[in-house]
Amino acid sequence: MTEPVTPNPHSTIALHPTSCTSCMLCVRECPDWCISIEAHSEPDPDAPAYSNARRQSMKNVLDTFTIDFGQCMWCGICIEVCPFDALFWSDNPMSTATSRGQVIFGIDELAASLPGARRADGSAAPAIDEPPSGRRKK
Amino acid sequence: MRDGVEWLQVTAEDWLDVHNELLARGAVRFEWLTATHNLGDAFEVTSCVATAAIDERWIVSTSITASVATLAHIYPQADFHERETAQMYGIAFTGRSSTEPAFDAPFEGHPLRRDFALRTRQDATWPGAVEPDAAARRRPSLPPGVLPEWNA
Repeated sequence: MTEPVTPNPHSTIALHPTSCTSCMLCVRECPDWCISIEAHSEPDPDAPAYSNARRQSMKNVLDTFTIDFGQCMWCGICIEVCPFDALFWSDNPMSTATSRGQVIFGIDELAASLPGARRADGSAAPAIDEPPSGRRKK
Repeated sequence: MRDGVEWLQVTAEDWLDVHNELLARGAVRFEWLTATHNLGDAFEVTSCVATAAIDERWIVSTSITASVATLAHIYPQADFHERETAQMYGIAFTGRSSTEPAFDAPFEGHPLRRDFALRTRQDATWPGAVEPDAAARRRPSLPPGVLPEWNA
């Protein structure tokens, strides 16, 4: 029981897709199971080549990221656990929906909330074409 | 003190005394009482009391193991909250005259405990089972709120 996590209970959650490393933390912490990620790993061309490497350095590539706002209870745990600053509270309101599919947000819908999104300290979240600002460097 | 609310963390032994003292200081309204399960037999019981004009409120919190003294004899409003909390968390409020459950509900166990198995998850697929890097050998993660045999 601390401060209210969001001033607007019908705001949305924004995703900065290139910051996401598909680490699955938000998916596994979500108490409602309302986030799902599809991702694959591919060889990381930017990884330093070590002569004694046992296997190729891989990096995760995000294919889909979905938040089902029909199940979300706006607890903000996903935003809090994200170690890469990929998820933010957004001031963008949820629009009214007439079907279940309209409240299931994919990468494009979640990234569309970035302009109204802010960090915990109140500063603006990165724009979609900005590089990752968190720990993900590339 | 925040927005006229004072937060008090007390020991389980002081639970009743603190409420008696708050009542003497004018906290005649018993707003609510609830608990949090901190795994095992560790619980946090929290109550909120306020003055008649609700210009001052106190939120009192205590860490307990399985039981705490009842407040129902000094705050009659606490009676239902304690029955509800007792049924939902399986904790005992000692000194109560009635231990009747709050709800005649068809569940077994205590639904608000962290280890309560959620039946609807028996048939649901946990999204967290996805492992992006298939070559990375890790111990598979298991979701909370399900029984091990449901994953078998």
